[in-house]
Amino acid sequence: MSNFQNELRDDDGYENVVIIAVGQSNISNFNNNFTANSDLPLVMDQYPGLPIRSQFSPYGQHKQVVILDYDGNMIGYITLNSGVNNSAKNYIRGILEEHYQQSVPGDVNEDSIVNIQDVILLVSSILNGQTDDNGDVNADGTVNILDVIQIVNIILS
Amino acid sequence: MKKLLFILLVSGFIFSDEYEYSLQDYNATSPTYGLDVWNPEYTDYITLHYFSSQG
Repeated sequence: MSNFQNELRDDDGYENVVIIAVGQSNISNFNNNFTANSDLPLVMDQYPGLPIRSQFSPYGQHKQVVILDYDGNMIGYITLNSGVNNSAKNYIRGILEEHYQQSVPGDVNEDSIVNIQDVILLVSSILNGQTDDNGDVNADGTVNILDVIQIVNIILS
Repeated sequence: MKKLLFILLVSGFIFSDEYEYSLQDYNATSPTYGLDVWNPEYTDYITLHYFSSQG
C-alpha cells in the first residue's frame, strides 16, 4: 500500500492524497506490524469502543479502504481481498480523477481563480502573521512580499 | 413552512456523510510520526483510510 501511495504521488501527480492505516488494538498491545517497512501514517482504533470503526460503520471492515474527499465525505470504498491489484488501483485512480483538485499557483483563497482577492488575502495574512502553504507561491518555504509580487505577476501575465 | 424547514434540517443531519478524527500517528517511519492525523495534518488532502484488524 505504501508503494501505491508513492505511485499516486510520483507517477500520477496526486500530491495531496494520503493513505492512512487504521489498526485496532489496546494501546498497551499496540505495535507497528500493520505498517512495518512503510511510511504510511498509522492510527490506532482503540478497544473496546473502536471509535473510528463506529464512526465509519458499516464500512471500515478488515482490508477495506474508505476514500473521503476534502470535506470528509465518503466518495468510494473498496475491499482489498486480493491485495492492491490493478483492478483496485484503477478503481481508486478513477475516484481521484473525478474528485482531485489540482492546486492553482497563487490561488490563496482556493476559489480556482487568481485575482486581486488573493493579493488582498495574502497581504492581510502576512500582516497578521497567519500564513499557510497556499501563500507560498514561489515555493521557497516562507510567505512574504515576494509571494505577493509573484501573484501580481501571475495576474498581469 | 416551519415543518418543511425542520424536516430539511433533520434529514441533513441524518444523511450527512462527514467523517472526522484526530489521532496520533504511531508509525515511526511516517513523515507525520507523533503528530495528529488526519486532522489537522491532512485536512486539505483526499484521504484513503485503510482498515486492518492488525495492531
